[in-house]
Amino acid sequence: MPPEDEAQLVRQAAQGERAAFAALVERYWHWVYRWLCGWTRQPPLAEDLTQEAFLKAWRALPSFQPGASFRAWLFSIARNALLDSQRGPRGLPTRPLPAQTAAPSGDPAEAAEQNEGAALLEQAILRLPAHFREAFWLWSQDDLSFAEIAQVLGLTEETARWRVFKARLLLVKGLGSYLDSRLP
Amino acid sequence: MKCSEVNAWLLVTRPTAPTPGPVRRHLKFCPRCRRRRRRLLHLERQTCALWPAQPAAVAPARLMQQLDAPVVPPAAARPSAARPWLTTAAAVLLGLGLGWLWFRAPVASPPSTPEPAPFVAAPTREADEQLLVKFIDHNLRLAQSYDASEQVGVLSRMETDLRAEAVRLARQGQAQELPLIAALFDRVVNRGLVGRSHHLPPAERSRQLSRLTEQMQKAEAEVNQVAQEMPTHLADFLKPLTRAARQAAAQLTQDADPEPAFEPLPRLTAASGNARALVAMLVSHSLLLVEEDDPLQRASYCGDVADQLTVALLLASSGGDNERAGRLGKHLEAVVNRGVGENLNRLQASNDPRAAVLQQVIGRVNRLVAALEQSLAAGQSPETAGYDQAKALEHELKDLEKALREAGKPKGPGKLEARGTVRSIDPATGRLVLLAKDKGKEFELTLLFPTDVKVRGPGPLERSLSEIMTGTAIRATLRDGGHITEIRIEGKPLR
Repeated sequence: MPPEDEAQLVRQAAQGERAAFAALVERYWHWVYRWLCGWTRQPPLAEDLTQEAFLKAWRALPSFQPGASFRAWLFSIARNALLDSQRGPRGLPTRPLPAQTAAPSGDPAEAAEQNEGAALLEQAILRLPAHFREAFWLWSQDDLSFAEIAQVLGLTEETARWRVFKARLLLVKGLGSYLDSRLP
Repeated sequence: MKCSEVNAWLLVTRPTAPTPGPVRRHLKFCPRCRRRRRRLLHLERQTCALWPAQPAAVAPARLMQQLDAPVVPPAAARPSAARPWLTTAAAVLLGLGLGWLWFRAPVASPPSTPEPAPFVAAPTREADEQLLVKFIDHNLRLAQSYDASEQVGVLSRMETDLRAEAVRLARQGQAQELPLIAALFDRVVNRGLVGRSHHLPPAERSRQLSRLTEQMQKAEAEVNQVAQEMPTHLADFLKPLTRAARQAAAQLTQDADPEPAFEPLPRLTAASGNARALVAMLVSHSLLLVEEDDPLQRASYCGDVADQLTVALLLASSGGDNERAGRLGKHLEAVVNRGVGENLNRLQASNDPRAAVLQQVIGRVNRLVAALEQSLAAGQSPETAGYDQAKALEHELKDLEKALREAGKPKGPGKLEARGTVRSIDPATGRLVLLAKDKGKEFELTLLFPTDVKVRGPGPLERSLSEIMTGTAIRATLRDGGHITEIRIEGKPLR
């Protein structure tokens, strides 16, 4: 979606146009959901939180500063919803997802290999310090820039860049042999 | 380019991003880095596949149904119409750091019919760099000026330069660049000039106000004139300038009292290192400077500018553009010395010991700038010339920025500390000269303390001033304007 189209949709949604907001939901739902899945590791909870985040966004649209990054703003709301949920009764220890998280494959052997790889990667990500993991997860979503990640996490751009740098460095180090085995 | 630099680039860049020439050349000959890149590519793919990209399709539909629940209609509470200039400016300025490239994408269609020569787009990089030089100069003048008349003079020149730039861009058909310049223009005239006009000395206020009003009217007339020569789609981009000039002229004519209440200004960054992004950052920081009287805070704003120039310098250096890196190094030196340094000198002149601590950092920054310039002048290979020094400089500037921010905060105990051995102490004048060490280098700090300063240690016991003598190792806690509030004796000799 070109940025000017998105800005137009945001303006219209802020004026109460549901169709415009629906288009924004369509555009960003799966990114927010996916990010929350990564954090909570519980798809039903992630879905609830995504819904909550969009509802809050709809209500808060009048306070959105035109010209700012809408997606960064939206991820900030999702992050706050997540933090709120961790304080309440939903803030229970997360359970790992069933192994079938990677894209399903027609070939059982390949599917098993994919699952094994996904589990390894998931473990490596979970081992990252929380502040690195948070920045890395955002970086993995929808091409968020460092400036946007900084906006979501309330950091400077340089710190956001540093955290992503460290997270990726640690992951590559931790997964070196696995990643090498996957290289052509 | 070194492997470590390529690795750093790979780690913060998406695989889809274009590969700069120096990185490409390095990868061609370095199997290790090629393998690193493949690993990262694989990591990226695996991460994308880790979580399902699509949730149940009904979820968004359910959400839309929930919107029917009673909520405050967004349009009813929308506040931005009350301050249109701010939203226009914010729209451009706040998005600048993250969306510079977006701004460069054309937002206006090219003229549908052939246009006369003045509308033909021309390369603008040189013009952008010239504009940057002007705004560095304006920023430095404002960094050193505490006088409203002088500030108004500089702001007037900023208005003239921005207006000329807008006209140039319009004539060259570069509509996509105009919203930013218009927003900066608006901010300079309606915040800078109108705001500062309230601080002019009464003796010259009336004369200055009529001069400024005339300047605004002239600006409106000139831009209108240019707009009339333009195709409609370009003329529309000039309208915000005429509106801003008209609004400023009206406010200056009315000479409204009191001064309008302004929203806090953002401390803009220029992540792209691009000349125009730097100009926007300089305008924003220039306005911050004129609205600030505390030398320490002003030094902090100049520290921001230095930091952003270092980022630009690093980008230029890593991209092999040594010439630009050299120019930016000169700007950086000027900002560090004339901006940060001069404001700290003012602080030091008022016997504020915070300045002494901060001056040490300035010294290190200056040494690094000098080393950087030598490297660039020596013509090292384009990819690496000055890069290491620039990185070290960036690190120092971060220290400086941190120290400035810390020194500017309301202090809790221990926010700013000086550690070293006592070279001399005079309880009668409350002056203590400390021989401090920082990163292996020794320097002297002159600190002030009140007669009732608390002296403690070693251990929790309270001590008296008379126990401190030459050679005593101490740690001084500074606050409330940098005066010592507590001295902790850390080692002998004790009297």
